[in-house]
Amino acid sequence: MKTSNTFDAATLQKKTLAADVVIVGTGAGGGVSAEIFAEAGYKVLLIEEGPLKTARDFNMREKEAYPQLYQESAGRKTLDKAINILQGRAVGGSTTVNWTTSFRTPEQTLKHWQTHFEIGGHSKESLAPWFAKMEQRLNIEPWQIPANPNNRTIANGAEKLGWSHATIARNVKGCANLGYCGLGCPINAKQSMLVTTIPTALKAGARLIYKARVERITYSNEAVTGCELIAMDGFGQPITDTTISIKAPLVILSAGAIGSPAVLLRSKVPDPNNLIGKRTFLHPTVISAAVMPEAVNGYAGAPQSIYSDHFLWPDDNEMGFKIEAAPLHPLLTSTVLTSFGQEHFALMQQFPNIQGSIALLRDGFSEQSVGGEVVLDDYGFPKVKYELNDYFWKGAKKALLAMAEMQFAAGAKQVLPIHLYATPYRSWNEAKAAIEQLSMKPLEALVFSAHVMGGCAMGGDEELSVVDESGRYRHLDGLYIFDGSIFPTSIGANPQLSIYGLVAKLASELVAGSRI
Amino acid sequence: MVKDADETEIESSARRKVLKGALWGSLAIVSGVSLWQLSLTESVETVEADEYPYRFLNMDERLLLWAIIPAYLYPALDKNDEESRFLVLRNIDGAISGLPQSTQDELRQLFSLLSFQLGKALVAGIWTRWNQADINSLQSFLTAWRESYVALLRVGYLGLHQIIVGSFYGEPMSWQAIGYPGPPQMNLPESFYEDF
Repeated sequence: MKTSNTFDAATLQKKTLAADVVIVGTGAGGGVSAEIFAEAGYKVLLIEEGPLKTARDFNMREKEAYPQLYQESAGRKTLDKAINILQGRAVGGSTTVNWTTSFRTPEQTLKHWQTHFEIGGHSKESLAPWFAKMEQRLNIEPWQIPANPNNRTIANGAEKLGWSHATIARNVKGCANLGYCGLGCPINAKQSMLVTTIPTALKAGARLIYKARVERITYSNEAVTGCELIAMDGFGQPITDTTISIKAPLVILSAGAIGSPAVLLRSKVPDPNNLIGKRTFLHPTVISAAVMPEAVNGYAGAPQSIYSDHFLWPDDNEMGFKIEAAPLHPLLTSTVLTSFGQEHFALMQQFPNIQGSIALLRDGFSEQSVGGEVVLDDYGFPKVKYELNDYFWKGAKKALLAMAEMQFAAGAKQVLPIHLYATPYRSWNEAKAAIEQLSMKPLEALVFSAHVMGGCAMGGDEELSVVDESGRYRHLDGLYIFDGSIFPTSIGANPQLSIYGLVAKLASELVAGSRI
Repeated sequence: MVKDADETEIESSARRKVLKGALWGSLAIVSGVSLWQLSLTESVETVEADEYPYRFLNMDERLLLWAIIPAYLYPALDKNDEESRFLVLRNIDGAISGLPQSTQDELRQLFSLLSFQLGKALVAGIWTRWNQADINSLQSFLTAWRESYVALLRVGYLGLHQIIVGSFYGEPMSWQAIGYPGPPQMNLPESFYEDF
């Protein structure tokens, strides 16, 4: 990392800067854009809300990683507190802390976009070379080392039940199979933006300002003129007397599906159809914990290496779900087990034997699944409203049943659906009867999200979309949105490669079509 | 709006002094917020003597959490282990400091509600005096929040659960009992990092 080009906003001497292009956010969208623009000769300025932390800082301690590397100390929640959202906030964005799982955008999803959102330019065929390019760039390939017991449980259960399952591709190079991806890779094996595109962009002359939040994009006469920043302190709180102005004729917004709508809302950009922040998707996720007869040690080994899409695309109109494993570290595990006192301790004492399965529900594909909405609180900080309706709960119950059946088929001694009123069940029959009776309501069944998408939907219809197919903001010149916020639905798979591939295509096309 | 931290500190300290010397019954109705803390007398001195520079938690909230922490964590946390309890308290303070302002405001309200509820429980004789045996009473109270039909109380239960148990299981002192060996030791040479 060429650190002479990186600046902590609070210590920056100059309060006015200029660039050819300012890129807001350094995650999957911002990282890929930065490399493409910097290598094309643009004077690039990258802005990141979180701190600059590198392998040297990543000591694999949850206590330090969550407050430093995640939005809201890994405790970001929807407005009603019913969904807990894990989202990165550091240089590299969520790619610094994600679990490396890489899928191309499913063909069904792209076809749905074509049919329902008039998106003709992003088909399986037209995206294929861009996925191939990013797979090569980030060393994405199916995981070669045998799955850890946490993931093997999914393979074993699916095998017994005749369900489809397969190996996950990961963006790693020289991975030591440590299992601490979620706390920042201590050996730079994970090919996140932090160790790939961002260092390349800096080497090509890009500058990076970190611990800086973009308060607003500035514009005049229907064209952007730059943006204004505020410095953030070590606790992620704004330092209100430290503001910086950036002049740039081109602004690329890559602040993610919560951050990008928030910047637009704070900027009060023209939005005649009132679409900014609408249709936010989360892949709302439910969890099933199992106690296995042997040690699983879910903290060790590649966090995700096996998945099952057996239930992802059901024939009826119900909400499909993807089954994966979740790595288990003590802090996060302790917060997910919702009991207290002796009951909680008894479960924690079985920590090495606990297997964690998750089901990610594919939201946004039905008229009964319209997603959430990003709004601003009294402090100008984004909050997500997301209603978990009956349509979702039906799918969630089906997912809890499927995971319990799978875990028992794999030999689980007990299965505990993560629900306030569930207890560990000792057989599939007992679990089935109990789960069917469980009330499915917000703040009873616990719901999580690690994937934020939507909020600035692209589409062919000007009345129904925030950006067009090229990521161009419809109501201001010089403003492009290149991140997961432009997806008009959720992806139906872990989204990082979808963002890498689509943004590589959009940024390259923009560079090719413009001149500096 | 949230009051200035110093001002709140002075006010609550004064209130505690008044309460300590006052008759319980008459004050119970007007000052339910802090009354329950009278039953904490054995602990008050310990918590008040702590000189750690808390960023968020005021003295009232520290006393409240001091009582509630073992209710969530006993028997994982030994009730006489004050050192660990302080560590949990400080981690809670650090975790809250990283939350957005509106969430901090909500937590202030939650702590206030919790004090009030516990104050009422004390007055009603549901539990009488904080001492080691009263963990059961506090745990009954948590059960009531957890099983409440009122979503706001479940939010409170889960919010406190997340910051309290998380603040404990992030610490190495909790790991031996649950069979977690801790993260691997890397000991990489400085040259390793310079290559990037």
